[in-house]
Amino acid sequence: MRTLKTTLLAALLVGAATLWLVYPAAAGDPADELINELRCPSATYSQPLATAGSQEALWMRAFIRAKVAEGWPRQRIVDTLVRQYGEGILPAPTKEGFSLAAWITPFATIFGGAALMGYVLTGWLRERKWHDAYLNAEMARGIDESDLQRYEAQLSKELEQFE
Amino acid sequence: MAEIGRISLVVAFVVTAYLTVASAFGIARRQADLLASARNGVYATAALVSLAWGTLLYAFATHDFTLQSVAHYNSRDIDLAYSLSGAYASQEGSLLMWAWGIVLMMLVVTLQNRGRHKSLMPWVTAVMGFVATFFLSLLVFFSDPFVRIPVVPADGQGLNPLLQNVGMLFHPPALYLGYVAFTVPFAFALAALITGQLGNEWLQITRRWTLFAWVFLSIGNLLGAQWAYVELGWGGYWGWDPVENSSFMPWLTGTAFLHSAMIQRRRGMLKVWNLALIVATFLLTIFGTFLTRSDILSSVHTFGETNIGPMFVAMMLLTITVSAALIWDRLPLLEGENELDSLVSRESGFLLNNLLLVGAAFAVLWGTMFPLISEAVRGVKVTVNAPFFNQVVGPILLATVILMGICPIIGWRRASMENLLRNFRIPVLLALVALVAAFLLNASQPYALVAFAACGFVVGTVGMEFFRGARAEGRILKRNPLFALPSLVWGNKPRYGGYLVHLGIILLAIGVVGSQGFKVEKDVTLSSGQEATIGSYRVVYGGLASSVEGRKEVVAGTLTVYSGDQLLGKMTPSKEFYPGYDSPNTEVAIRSTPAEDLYLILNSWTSTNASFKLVINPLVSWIWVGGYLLLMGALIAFWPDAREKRREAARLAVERPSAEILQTADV
Repeated sequence: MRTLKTTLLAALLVGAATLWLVYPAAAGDPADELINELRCPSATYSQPLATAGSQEALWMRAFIRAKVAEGWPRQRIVDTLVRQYGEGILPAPTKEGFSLAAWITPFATIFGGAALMGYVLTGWLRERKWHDAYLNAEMARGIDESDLQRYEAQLSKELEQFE
Repeated sequence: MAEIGRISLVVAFVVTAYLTVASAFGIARRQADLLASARNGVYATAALVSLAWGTLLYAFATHDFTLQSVAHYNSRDIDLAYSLSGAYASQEGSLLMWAWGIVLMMLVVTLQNRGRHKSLMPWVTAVMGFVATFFLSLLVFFSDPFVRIPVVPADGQGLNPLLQNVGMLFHPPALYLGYVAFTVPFAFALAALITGQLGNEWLQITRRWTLFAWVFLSIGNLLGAQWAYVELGWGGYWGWDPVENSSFMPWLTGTAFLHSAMIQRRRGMLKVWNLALIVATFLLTIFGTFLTRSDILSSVHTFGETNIGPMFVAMMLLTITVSAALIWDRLPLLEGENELDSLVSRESGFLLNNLLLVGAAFAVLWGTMFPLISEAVRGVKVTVNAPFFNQVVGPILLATVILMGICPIIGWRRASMENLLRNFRIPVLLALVALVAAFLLNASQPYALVAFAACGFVVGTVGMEFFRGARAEGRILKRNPLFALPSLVWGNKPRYGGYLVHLGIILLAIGVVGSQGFKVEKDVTLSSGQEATIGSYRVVYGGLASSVEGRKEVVAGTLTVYSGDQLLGKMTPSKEFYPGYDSPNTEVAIRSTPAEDLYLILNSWTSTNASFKLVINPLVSWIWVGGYLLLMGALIAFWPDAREKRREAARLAVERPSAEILQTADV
């Protein structure tokens, strides 16, 4: 048992150390990265900016490359494009205001479901414990002779009726 | 010919409406003649809709451009297989395929259960008949596949070039089979609710149908992913598009149902939950069909603007109302036969797995609908795309994968801590090995490392189950455990088939994590003779070539690929121009190995150079191999099992006397 616990502990420690040691992935071309992320504003944002052939897409791609070359920070480029074409060009809702609900709701639902499940299951288990305790007490008490006779009579009567 | 199809559909609609009513009235009033006539209606409607479908296929095969759908989705130059697939590329044709699927399944269910389940079957026929009537009504009143065109063209517009791919021949039929087949367990569930026969009978009868539906939905999704990978030319296989999501949601709830049904069959628990799950799965299949035809969300897969959206909404509302009312009414009969013995048990694990799968389905639904919600609340249209789903659904699915490893090694009812630790030792060590191996192989993202460790853990638990089983089987048969393995699997097909499915899912998960987490891409512009490198590959641009192939004009760039100095071959990504289509079709060039795919896209060109996207997609082939393993495992689980037959015979022997007492009329 002790060996097992030590193995598990070692596994956890090595796992944690490995995770701690990880380094960030090498960054690619920032203009390409941004172009690959954003959506094209035409056709109700249904196409990725990287592959869309509309005039807006051509302009946006050229704008991003030019501004990256000028040294604009990424967020400034994004903010400028959002002001012009709307939030729909972003690949996902922002994490502020009403859009935050998009991110929170699924997890809140699952945690809520887990809490409800935990409540119901522990209720079942509590009920079961009481039931088992009651049965054990009854078994310990034994059955009265009068009760036994009554049950036997009832059983015989029901068996006769059934036949 | 078209008139034959049209008349067949109209008559089929009338017959199906009749058999729905006749079946319900027949059982309610115990009129055997009405029930017999409803059964005959099933045979008739199957023949009629088959005739209509055959007529449409014939029209496509013979290029009958007098029909609107043929003129829009067919042309003389495409070969027979793609000509026929045009039949379900149109909205009308796809609805007819849905209707054909459901009437055929109604026929099979009727024949399978002839003389059996006498109180359930009429209601099953009524429910399936109602669903078939709904689809036939759409075809008869709103979306007629046999509409004539006023001016007959000499040639048709042709099938969308994107759909001229082998995967597209099988992807829609597989998805539809999956969608339609979930109607069968749904119909049995409603029949059980109506009759009050809420034991395990409906689950036993529909186990194979549920598996059938799940397998075809899985195949449909995988074929769709493969098609997107080779045909859409953006470097990925799953874009979290609303229509992709709509086929993923019933897959998730269907998976949850397959697992929770096991608890009811084994322990008589979760009766309400199982009913709710199968109703939700059926609803999501209707929702998926609605989403592709409603134009409420923009997607590359929709059929464009249609007028049948409100009908689907009405159908969904009716399904919710009737199912909820029936479940509410039958609540007293849905008490579990057992209660949970311990929080540390396989039942609890399955429950948690259900919560996560349903939670994932909800997250996908929520993300899919959020653009509409945002527009309604704020008046601002937002996009919900891959980054959202990867961050929200990804962790939920990762937790599900971990549970997939935990559940099989926890015992039913109650597991002792000592037992748990003993069972977990090898899987945890394998998880650790996977973690370190991934790290040494340059995996750098914590999320990916955890995912690989989880996959190692599940492989450990499943491997241990096979090892222990084979060792015991080997002892009994006095054989080497390795040679006892086939007999072990064949002896308990549902169990070991299920484990193979789990292994398939793990291979798939490894492929997804690898290709999502370690994808490398690069945009390059090259003049003839220039080279670019990506990963360990070096590509040398050899120039562009233009050719005419049938109707299309092809512009292909030649790239000679080297790994170091070793020549690997030539790859020719291309663009295809079809008359009548504004955008060219991208044909990617893929060099696939078990470790990674080199994926090349020709983006654009000028007279002096060409631009390419070079992508390395690690481990993508694992996804397809995982799919094959999943299919193999599901087939094994699906295969008739002698032990199951014996159990069924024993159950019927016990139930028959009481059933004979209860059934007052031979209906």
